[in-house]
Amino acid sequence: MGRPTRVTNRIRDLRAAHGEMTQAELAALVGVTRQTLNAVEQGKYSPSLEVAFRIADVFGTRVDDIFAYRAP
Amino acid sequence: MTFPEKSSIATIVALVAVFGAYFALALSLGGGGSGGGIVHKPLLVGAVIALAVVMAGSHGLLAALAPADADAFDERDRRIAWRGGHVGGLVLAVGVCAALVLTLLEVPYVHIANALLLAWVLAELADQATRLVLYRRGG
Repeated sequence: MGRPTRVTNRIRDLRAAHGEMTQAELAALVGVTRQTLNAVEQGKYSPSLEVAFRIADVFGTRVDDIFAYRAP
Repeated sequence: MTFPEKSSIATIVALVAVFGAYFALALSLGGGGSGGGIVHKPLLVGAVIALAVVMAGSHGLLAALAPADADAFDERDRRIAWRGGHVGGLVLAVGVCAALVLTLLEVPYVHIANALLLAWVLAELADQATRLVLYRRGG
């Protein structure tokens, strides 16, 4: 298991709410590899702002509806 | 496993195999004689050619087995490559300092050349190993 970042997200829930979208489908829409999207979803990698906005754009929502920062 | 991870493993295997054999043979051949000249020139050229062939062959095979993955390279891959390069750069810097110490000690320059080569090999191994760790642990 990887070391978690302090950024949490709701990507798994949002994929489920959008017709059980697969990681590969979302990754293709966002323009990253499936492995990177998986790392983001598991909280092992904090994406750039650009990727975060693209994910939000795919789901038609705001970045802060998807990502949250867990303070130490 | 992603293409960059497979690439790192292939690079580590190639470096260990080729330069493991090179340094084993170079040590068995000795230290360059009284003049300290580079007596292992054919060995070094052979090792470089062998490394190029093994790297090209292994990466060509990996790309042929998963063509779509070979082109997939995104921001996380770039960040991991940068961090691996940073660790490799530190190892290389230490190796260059060690080679400078050997120069001050006036050892035959074949040993200095081999020390620099070893520093480069260790730096590359550190780079690739760091990448593998970051891909596994997150980064």
